Amino acid sequence: MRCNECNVDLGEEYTKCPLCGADAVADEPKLKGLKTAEYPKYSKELLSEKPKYKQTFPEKHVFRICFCVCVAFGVAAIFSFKPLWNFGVPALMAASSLFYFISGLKEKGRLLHSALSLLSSAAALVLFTAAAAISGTGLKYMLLALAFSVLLFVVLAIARPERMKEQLKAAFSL
Amino acid sequence: MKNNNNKAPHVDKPWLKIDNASTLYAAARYKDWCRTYRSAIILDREVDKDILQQALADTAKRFPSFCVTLRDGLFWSYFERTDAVPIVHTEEKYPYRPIQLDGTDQPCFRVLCYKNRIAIEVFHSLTDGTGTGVFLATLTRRYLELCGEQIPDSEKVFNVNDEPLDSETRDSYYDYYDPSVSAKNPKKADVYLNENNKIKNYSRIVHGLFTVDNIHSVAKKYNLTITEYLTAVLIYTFNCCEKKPINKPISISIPIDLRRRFESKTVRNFVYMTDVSFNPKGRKDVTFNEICDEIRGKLAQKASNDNLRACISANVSAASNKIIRPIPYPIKKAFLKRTYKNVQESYTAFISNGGEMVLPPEMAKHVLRAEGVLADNPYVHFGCAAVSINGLFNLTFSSDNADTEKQKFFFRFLANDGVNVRIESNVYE
Repeated sequence: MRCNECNVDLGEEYTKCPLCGADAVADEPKLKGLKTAEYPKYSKELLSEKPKYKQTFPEKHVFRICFCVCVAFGVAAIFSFKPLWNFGVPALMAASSLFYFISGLKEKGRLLHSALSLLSSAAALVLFTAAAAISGTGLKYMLLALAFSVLLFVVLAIARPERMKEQLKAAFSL
Repeated sequence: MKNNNNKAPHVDKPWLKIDNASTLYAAARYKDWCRTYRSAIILDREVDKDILQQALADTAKRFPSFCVTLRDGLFWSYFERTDAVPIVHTEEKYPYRPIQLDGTDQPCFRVLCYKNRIAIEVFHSLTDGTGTGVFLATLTRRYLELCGEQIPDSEKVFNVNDEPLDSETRDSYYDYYDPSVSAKNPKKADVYLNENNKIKNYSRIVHGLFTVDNIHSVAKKYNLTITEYLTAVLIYTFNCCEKKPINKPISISIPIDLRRRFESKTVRNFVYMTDVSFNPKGRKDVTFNEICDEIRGKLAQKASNDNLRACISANVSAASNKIIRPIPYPIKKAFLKRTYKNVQESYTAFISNGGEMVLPPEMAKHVLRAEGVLADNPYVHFGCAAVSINGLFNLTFSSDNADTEKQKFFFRFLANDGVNVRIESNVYE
């Protein structure tokens, strides 16, 4: 088959040109001896199909929201909006940490991942509270966050010593 | 290079460090999208799914760097080894559906078969087009062997009974990283972005088949290489198909296989993206010859060994920076995602010429053709990949919408320029 509009050969089964939609003409192809490599016929339902992924993201979203709220509290701390951040930061941090850590326990291989992400959030909290401390108000919260980070490191080192070692090696000895 | 002929050191290790180029792909992934490359081989016979499954199980052992899942670590993402072998599926969906990376123990690739086609879709962090080609050729070889064919060993087609080598799973970027070479970072250009009306879950593949001799002789007419010629036609296509005049450079991204320049046997990523651009400056009457004159030799100049070394240095020095390394991965990931978006948006389209797939003659006689397909991505909606086998060049356009205006212009231009083109597509009547 050929398309005379596009001046190209087409697969033997084609009734229309895939490029321009013109009717295919049963002319001799210029490239001889080629057979069409067929694709499946796609059903229309495929276009409205939702991917069947294992949903692992809700807890991540919660974590992210908590992270953003922490940022907001950090900013509040820098500008000394005391009532807002005095209790809010530790309470939110503890709640999101617990939720994220427990959600990680459900799935094989996710414990380390969730713990490490949590560790990152604790490290971020150190940064925010450090900023607050510099502004003269948040030293105790920085110490709290540091203690929290150290505790997580210890938990990880006891739970998965080999993996922790590999992680640290990967990060520091490239 | 060190330990080139030793057994891969990480075969017994539970994890594998992600290679330098993959860091971006890993960070830039979304729930419903990850950078994917598809490669396929069309055999002279219908593929038996059960035999292919057995062939895949045998082949997977030979490629330890493929049998991994992606995990996010504290400082970087990394690959975790998995013993799971992907299940071969009969192809029934549109090509390159997203590969699930999070919350799974399955490797980051899938193998599909349909009638005479064996296809593999790979998350780009695992390997590049060349690596995918080696895996697919080895899988096909094993399949043919299980079907009773005798295939001798060759360089680009592994024997599944051999031990994996360290040299095959090395991160070769580090082998050629020279801190004394001044790093060169690509500048983000304000380029013409190809607009697109994406259709969800849809991908349209258009194959253009022609002989290598034919396209080579036509390209020679303009004193261009095949890749330069195809790039020039693509630029011309964009300028002619856009209704409004284009005042920004049309920038075509072209991957360069670094294995051809630097000695490496790795089957992981070892590629560098360069680009060729042309600014029509609002002129709709730009001739094809003008574009040819502008881009002639540019690719060779950009892909000189000195330039490539500088680019490798730029990539590696960023990843091994002592200040960047200890930053927690979630923070790095946000920056990497943004970087990836910036890099991608500095291109109008991709064109990847994988060159000739070299197979032993005993195997090549059973292979009718090969295909390479660049999956679409959220930033660049127009990709084109080429691969040749047995003297047959297969140029494949992939896009996530039903519009074929540019493909039509492109292939009509080739046909009118003296190339005998055969068109096939995954969507046809």
